[in-house]
Amino acid sequence: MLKRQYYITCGLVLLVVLVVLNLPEPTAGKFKLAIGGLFLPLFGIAGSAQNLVEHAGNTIAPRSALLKQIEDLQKENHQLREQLMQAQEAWRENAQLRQALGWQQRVPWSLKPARVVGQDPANWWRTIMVDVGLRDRIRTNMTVLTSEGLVGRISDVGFDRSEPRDQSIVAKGIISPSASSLDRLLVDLMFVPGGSLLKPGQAVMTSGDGGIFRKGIVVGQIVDVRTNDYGMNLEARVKLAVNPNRLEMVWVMLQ
Amino acid sequence: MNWLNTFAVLLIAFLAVFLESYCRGLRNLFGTQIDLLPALIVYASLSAGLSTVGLLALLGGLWFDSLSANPLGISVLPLFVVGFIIHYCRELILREQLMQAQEAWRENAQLRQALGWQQRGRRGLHSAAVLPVRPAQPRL
Repeated sequence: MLKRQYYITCGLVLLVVLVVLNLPEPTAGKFKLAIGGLFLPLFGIAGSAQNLVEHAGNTIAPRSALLKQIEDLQKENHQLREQLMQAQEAWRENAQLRQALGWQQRVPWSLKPARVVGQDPANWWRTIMVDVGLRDRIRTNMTVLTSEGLVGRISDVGFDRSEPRDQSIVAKGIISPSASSLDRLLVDLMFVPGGSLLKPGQAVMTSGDGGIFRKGIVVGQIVDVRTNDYGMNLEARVKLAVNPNRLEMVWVMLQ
Repeated sequence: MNWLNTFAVLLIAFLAVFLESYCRGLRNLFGTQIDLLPALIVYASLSAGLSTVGLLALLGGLWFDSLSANPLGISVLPLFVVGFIIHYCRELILREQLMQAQEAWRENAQLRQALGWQQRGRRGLHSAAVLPVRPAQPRL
């Protein structure tokens, strides 16, 4: 026989759960950010401790290693300058051609660097937390990327933190999380018109048609292709270019 | 279990949720994150009162959902149901420990009698019990 305390505790928990689950979406979002804000001091302390350890590691690094690193960076800097010169030339030519054809001029990307401070503790979702927010002019649905490729888009924005999520990326088909694979780096490219020349190893890029991501951001590489719906559609498995588990720094594209 | 222990359990839950979000070592190693809250709720339901279990499920679930893309509050009910069931059946789960504690109590009483010492009061069993549960007969 259940005691009175059991009824009271069960009732209270059920009541709170029902109230929280039935909150309107904006209120629930604000409530969620407020509760998540309790963790900010811990994230700050952990980040400072990590910086301290890195700083301490730098002070004890041997001089020869630092000199070698400087030399490597100088070489890389030189190569990047050459590439930049070529890119600027191509950019100018591109702008002239666009003007000649009457196309809209392309706007250069404005990127804001951000540090990854945390990941989704649940295994169902692939979200990360970055240390920029409303005060850095970050808004919902802004694109998040790295030099390797697309990471995702901003799903929730707080005052000084945001949560990018990597899903629903539009390319020539539609990319969605893979239902058949346990590998979190594999996603499905679906609804590709039958007869398209898809081959393993081809790069997958955003088309810009979805309205969220700009055109030409690398998503990943095709692993294999299969026919679906009696040849009407093709489906491909795509290996994402960016592993969200190993991210430390990302860029948020300000629009 | 007093309020200090309840506070300690809640503090550990708070730190556990933070570590699940912050630490990426296990995620990189196994490809998945280990959830520490179910283990904590099992511990709390075996060693604490139902109010502690309810509080842990409520706050732990809300903290977990606040750092996740889950809808807020969705983790509370599963944690509470697990905690409630284990708490309800804990005398059955811990019956061996209870029997051992009662056996130790009987032996202690016999030894005290043999040595002519004063018998220990009922309160002594509570402080000397292996687990902080009431020394009642298990429901079998």
